[in-house]
Amino acid sequence: MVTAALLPWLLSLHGDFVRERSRAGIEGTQALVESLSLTDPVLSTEARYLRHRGLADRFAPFQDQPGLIDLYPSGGVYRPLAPMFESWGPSPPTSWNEAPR
Amino acid sequence: MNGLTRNLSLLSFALASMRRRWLRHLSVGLVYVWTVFLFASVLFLAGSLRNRVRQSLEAAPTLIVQRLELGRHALVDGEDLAKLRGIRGARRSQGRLWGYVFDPFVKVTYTVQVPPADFDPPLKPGETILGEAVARSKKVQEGQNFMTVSAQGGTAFATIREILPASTSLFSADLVLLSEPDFRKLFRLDEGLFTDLTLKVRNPKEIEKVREKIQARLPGFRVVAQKDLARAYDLAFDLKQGYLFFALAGGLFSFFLLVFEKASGLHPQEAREIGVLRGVGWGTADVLRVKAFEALSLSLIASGLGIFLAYLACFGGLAPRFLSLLGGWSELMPAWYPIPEFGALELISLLAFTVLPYFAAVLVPSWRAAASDPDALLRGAA
Repeated sequence: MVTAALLPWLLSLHGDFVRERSRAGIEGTQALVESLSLTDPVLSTEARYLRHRGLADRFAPFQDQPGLIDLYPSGGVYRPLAPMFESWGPSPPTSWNEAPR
Repeated sequence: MNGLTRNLSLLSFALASMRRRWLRHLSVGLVYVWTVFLFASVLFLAGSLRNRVRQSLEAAPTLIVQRLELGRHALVDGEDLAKLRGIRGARRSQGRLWGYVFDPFVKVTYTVQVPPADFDPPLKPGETILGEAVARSKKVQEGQNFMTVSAQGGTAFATIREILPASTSLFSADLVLLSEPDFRKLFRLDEGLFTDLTLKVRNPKEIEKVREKIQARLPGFRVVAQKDLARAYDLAFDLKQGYLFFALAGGLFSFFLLVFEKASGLHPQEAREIGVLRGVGWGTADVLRVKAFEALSLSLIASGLGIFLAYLACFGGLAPRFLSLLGGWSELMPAWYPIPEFGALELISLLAFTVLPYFAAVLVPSWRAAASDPDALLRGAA
């Protein structure tokens, strides 16, 4: 009974400790992302559309050569991010827009 | 007897009855612990990864502008950058120089990037800063030399000035930072060409307007907003967590099936016990309360243990091994450690998935037994 009551407390204590210890890491990462203008975490590096998923086209896996299939195991697990964007895709030709101000 | 003492004695009766059939409860308990452990680990790791990426992406450039050619990402030149610089509200607009290089010696792909002009202290030609995983795969240290070759035939040869700390490796593991002349030499890239453009917009209300202006000035370019990127990563991790839950759902169902089967094919001895209790004058409610106390104690112990073990596995040192589940396959796996980031909501939803169905699976058959005739139960006819 006592152990059961102590356990959550101990875990939350450990959580605080880990958070405190990793604060420098979080701030360091933010500073680095800010300074280098980074856009994507390094989760997978096999292909450009897996390394920088945020910047890849939906069809990027098939783009390198006609008829190419998506070769990498990560490609099967990671869905491309592009279709989730609100207004993703190239901007329309100038004539569609009003003249730049 | 008041309510509290009554419930306490029912609880101690339930515990004694659990002790009598300890082997059975132990076997169910172990499966229970394992089930909770699996779900809790996925929840913990996905939550931690999501939080970490979200926090870090807050500092990412507000808008990323890329030129498209034949439907693919293409290089931009200085004129495009100049058009961007005139837009009001856009700050720190700059051309990024980055690319990939396949290292034939260790057979991995690095991301080579040039730090911006305001990088402090500036990177001199002949110097490089490496991500932690690059240094690990190349087996090099600060002060040593680093060399790589690009597909264009250019080479980069530089002294390692610094290795980026492992605590930032979630975003920097595969980075090779080179000075601009070295970068252009490595890729044989002409002066004035950039990979893409980035800019910051300080006022969130202006982002859409700035995006519109960029699209008007640079037709055919793609503009990716940081907020979309962050949201897309959020969704991507939700999706991965969903995949894993889906894969684990079979285990969860079979666990409930096991519990339900065990309880509904109420052991003859157990049915007799319920019959005796009913015979000596216990009400259906009392019998059910004993059963509920049994289920409650087993649930609390098993889920507590499962969550504790998952916590140890995710945040207590075993984490890097588990990470391959939620991270990617990668030679240059970042050596980041997950930070516990979960609240009561996650734990409650986890318990709702495991404890509630367990209660149902235990109580429904017991209620059926308790509601039937004690005489029939004693004869073993129920």
